Amino acid sequence: MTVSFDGNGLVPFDEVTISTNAASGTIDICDDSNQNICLVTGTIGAATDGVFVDFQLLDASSNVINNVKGNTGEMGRTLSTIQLATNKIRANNGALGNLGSDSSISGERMSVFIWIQASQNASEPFYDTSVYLFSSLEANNGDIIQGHTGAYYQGTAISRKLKFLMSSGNVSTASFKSYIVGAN
Amino acid sequence: MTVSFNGNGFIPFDEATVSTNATTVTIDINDDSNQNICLVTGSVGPYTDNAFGRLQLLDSSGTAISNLRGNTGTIGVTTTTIQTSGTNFTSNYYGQGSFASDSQVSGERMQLMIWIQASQNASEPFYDVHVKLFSTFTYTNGNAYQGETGQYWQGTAVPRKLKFFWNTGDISTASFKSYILGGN
Repeated sequence: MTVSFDGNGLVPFDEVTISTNAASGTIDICDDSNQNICLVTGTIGAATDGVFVDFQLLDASSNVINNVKGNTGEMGRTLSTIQLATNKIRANNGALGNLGSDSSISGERMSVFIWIQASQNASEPFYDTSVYLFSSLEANNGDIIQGHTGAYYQGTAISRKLKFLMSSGNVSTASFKSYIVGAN
Repeated sequence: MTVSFNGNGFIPFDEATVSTNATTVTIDINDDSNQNICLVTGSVGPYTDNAFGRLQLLDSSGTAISNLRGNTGTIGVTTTTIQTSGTNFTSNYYGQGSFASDSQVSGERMQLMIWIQASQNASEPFYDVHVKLFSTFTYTNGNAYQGETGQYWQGTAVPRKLKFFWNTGDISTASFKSYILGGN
């Protein structure tokens, strides 16, 4: 799909909204290997208390990309980090709460800015994929947490989509938009 | 106002400059609910030593949005954060120095990059707002630190402007620009 721009800025490349409980959602981050830098923004709430928000990169066939490496930490609360599983990009180090997640202004949710380098063509035989995720969330103890996740992947598949799901239970509500800001 | 782009990149949506002491500085971050993702960049110096930057999101009537949820931390030197809620949020974890803030190349100032998701339209009855602020600032002892603030808010007003002031004393000089990157 062609990236376009109008009087309000870049037109969203894709949008996903979940308004009732769902196991997961998926948003497009590119559909052409000439599209490289993508920003995904949005917010998500959990149906179950004390969960973690996981993201997965999917290829053009919607297969989950494995062999992702990375970690997740949080600003100013702990010096430890979570080493990521090979196919999940965990967005929070402290558990997300769900009090009023989809019904209250002060509801416990997670908001994110996710920068993705999807298909940087390199001289080595890989498409270097890099994900940097910045989150703000309310933990199930009421503290506000800022999470950081860095993940990378070197392979021959191009990341086309980003899937989101909870470590346990459903997504209660979510709204994500993607913007492609840079090409190859 | 229409967002525009030329051979140099995105044209600033708004610019705000303070060249002599002022109590506050305010910059537009959108003027239409179809404008969503905004980047505000710039620097600011304090007139008074050991100052903390305060920011507010203003709605179309110039009223500060309340019920914000967030925190401010600094990278790698402490495991505590400043929890922020209500109307004001804080840009720097340690007090900003004022030594030669507007007269020397090595003057103590704070540089900011602020990402704002202003009006992500969702099916739930809220505009999901998310602010992620990255600061590099000089503490009164001359050390430089990296600060980070995350704020999120769910409400029915769209933030239109970003207001900055110090918790004590005036702004000596400031220069801010805003860029709208993504629409709804």
